[in-house]
Amino acid sequence: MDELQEMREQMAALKEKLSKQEIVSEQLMLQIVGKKLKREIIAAWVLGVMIVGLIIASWVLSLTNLAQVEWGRLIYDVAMTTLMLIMAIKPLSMIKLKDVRAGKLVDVAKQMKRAQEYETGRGRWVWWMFALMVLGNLVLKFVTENDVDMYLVFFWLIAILVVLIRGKIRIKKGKTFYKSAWEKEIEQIEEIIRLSKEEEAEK
Amino acid sequence: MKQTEKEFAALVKEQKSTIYSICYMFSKDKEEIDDLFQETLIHLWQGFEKFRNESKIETWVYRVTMNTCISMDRKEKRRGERIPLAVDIDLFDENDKDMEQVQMLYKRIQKLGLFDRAIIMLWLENLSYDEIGEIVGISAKNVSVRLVRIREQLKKQ
Repeated sequence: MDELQEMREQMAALKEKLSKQEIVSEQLMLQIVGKKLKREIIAAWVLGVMIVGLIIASWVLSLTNLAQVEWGRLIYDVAMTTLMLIMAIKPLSMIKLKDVRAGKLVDVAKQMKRAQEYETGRGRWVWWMFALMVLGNLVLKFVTENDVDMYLVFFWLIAILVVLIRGKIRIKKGKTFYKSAWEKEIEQIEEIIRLSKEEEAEK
Repeated sequence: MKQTEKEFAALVKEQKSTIYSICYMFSKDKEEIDDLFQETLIHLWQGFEKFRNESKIETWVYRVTMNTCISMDRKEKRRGERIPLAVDIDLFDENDKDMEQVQMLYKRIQKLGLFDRAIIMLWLENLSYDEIGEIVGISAKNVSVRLVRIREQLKKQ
C-alpha cells in the first residue's frame, strides 16, 4: 500500500482514540488562557517600563546638567541612548506581526533570519560602538572626576544588561530556530520555487 | 460565561482532536504535548475575536496550531506553570498494542523536517493543496512538489 494512504489510516486510528478523550474541559481551558496571558502581559509591561524608564532617566540626567556639560558630551549621551533604542527595537521591528498572526511561516522565518543577521552582522558594530562609548565615559569619569557621569554610567550599564539579556535570548532563539530547522527549510523552499519556475519556463 | 468564551470553548471542543494530534506529532513526550496544546489555546484565544471569517475557521485553527508548534521556544516556555490536561491515554506507551498504528505514524512523521511535517499533517487532515499552500505560505504547485518528495523520502525509510 502507498505510504501516504497507510498514514491516513493510521491518522484515523489516532483521531478515533482522541475523540473518546475529554482532553480539556471548559473550566480548564479558561484557567489555562487566563493564567498564562496574565503572566505574559505582566512580564512584557515590567520589561517595557524598565527600558523606557532607563532611557528617560539617562536623557533627563543629561539635560538637567546642561549648564555643566559641554555640548559635545550632550550629543555623545543622546547618541548612546539612541543606539540603545536601535538595538532594542530594530530587530523586533523586522518581524512583521501581521505575518505572524496570519501564520505565514515562510515569511516569518525569513524575517527572523534577517533580524538575526542584523544582530550578529551589521548590528554587531553598533554593539562595539556602544561598548567603546561606555568605556570612554568611564575613562573620562576618572580623568575629569565629574560625579554626574557616574550616574549616567550606572544607568547605561543597567540598560546594557537589559538589552543584552533580551538580545541573548533572541539570538539563542534564532540559532535554535534556524540552525536546526528553518535555514535548511528555507533553502529547500527556495529550491522548489526555483525548480517550478524552471519547469514553467521550459513549457 | 460570556458569549465569546462560550463560542471559543465550543470551537476548541470541536477541534480538540485535530489540535492534540498536531501537537503530538511535534512533541517528544507527554509534557511537551501539554505545553504545545496550552500555547496553542492561548494563541487561538488571542486571535479569536479578531478572526474575520476571511478563511474557514478550521483553516485558521490549523494555521495557528502549526505556527505555534513550529515556532515555540519550548525550553523557555517550560519554565512557566503547566496545567495538566485530562488525557488518560499515553500516546508514547510502546507496550500498548492498540497504539501500534499510532506509534508507526508518529515514527514516520518524526523523521521528516519541521516544514515537511506541517505539510504532511495538513494533507492527512484531507486539506486541498490550495488550503495547505495558504496555511504554510507556499503555492499549491509547490505543495504537490513537496508531497512527491515526502513520499520518496518515506519510501526510503
